[in-house]
Amino acid sequence: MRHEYIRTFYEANRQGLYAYALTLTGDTAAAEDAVQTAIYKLLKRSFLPSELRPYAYRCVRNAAIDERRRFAGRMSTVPPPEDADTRTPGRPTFVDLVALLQRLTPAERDVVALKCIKELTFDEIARIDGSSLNTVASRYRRALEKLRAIMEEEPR
Amino acid sequence: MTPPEDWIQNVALPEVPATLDRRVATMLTSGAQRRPAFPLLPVPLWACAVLVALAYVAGAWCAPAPAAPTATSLVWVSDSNPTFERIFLPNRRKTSFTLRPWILVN
Repeated sequence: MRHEYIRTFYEANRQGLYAYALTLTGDTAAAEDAVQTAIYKLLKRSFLPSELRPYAYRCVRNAAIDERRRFAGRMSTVPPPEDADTRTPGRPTFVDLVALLQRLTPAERDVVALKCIKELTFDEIARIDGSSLNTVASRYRRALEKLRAIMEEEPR
Repeated sequence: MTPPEDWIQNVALPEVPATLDRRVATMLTSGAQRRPAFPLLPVPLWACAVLVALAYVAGAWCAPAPAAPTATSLVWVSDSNPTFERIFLPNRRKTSFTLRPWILVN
């Protein structure tokens, strides 16, 4: 039953967890490892946390940081380009997003990825990050201002 | 110009690799069951400490009190043993004999 619950959670959040891990690590293999580690940590727990989503994202974040640290010299900073067939005309790709987010500080990148990609609330992000609600909100605002400035300089 | 948040939300998220799905499915079916850190000690250490403390308190509470000397035994000692005073008044005589009298009687 517990495994079923985790399976349902994974199926509903797999893309978000993977995209988040990929944003943090910039490497597909490391992102896979990070998501697997997070699910393993969920399975290992005696009691599941009442709110699974922030906990799982925090696990992914910690695992991604570990992976990044472990393979610092060997990782590519940007994921490999997607196939030309899968590109939708007029729609930005994930590679473009990762390249854009690399211009932010790690903390700002984290908040933007969680808020915009998976539409987590500030409250959930604060729980993942271990920061206060105000810190997260101001970090997000600052990151958006930076992105706006970048996009004005280099229109996309 | 598109606001950055709209631009980001418009990004096509990457497909989850089939290998990751397979790895997670394997974990969920074959069961990465929770195992104790030390296989021979499934009971947590704090539980053992609590049990030992409880046993100690229960033992101290239920143990019989040491038998007190009776009047007859004291009389018997005083009649037959010439060193009665040395036994029963060790501190007054400043001797080195420190055994309790009822231990000798019994």
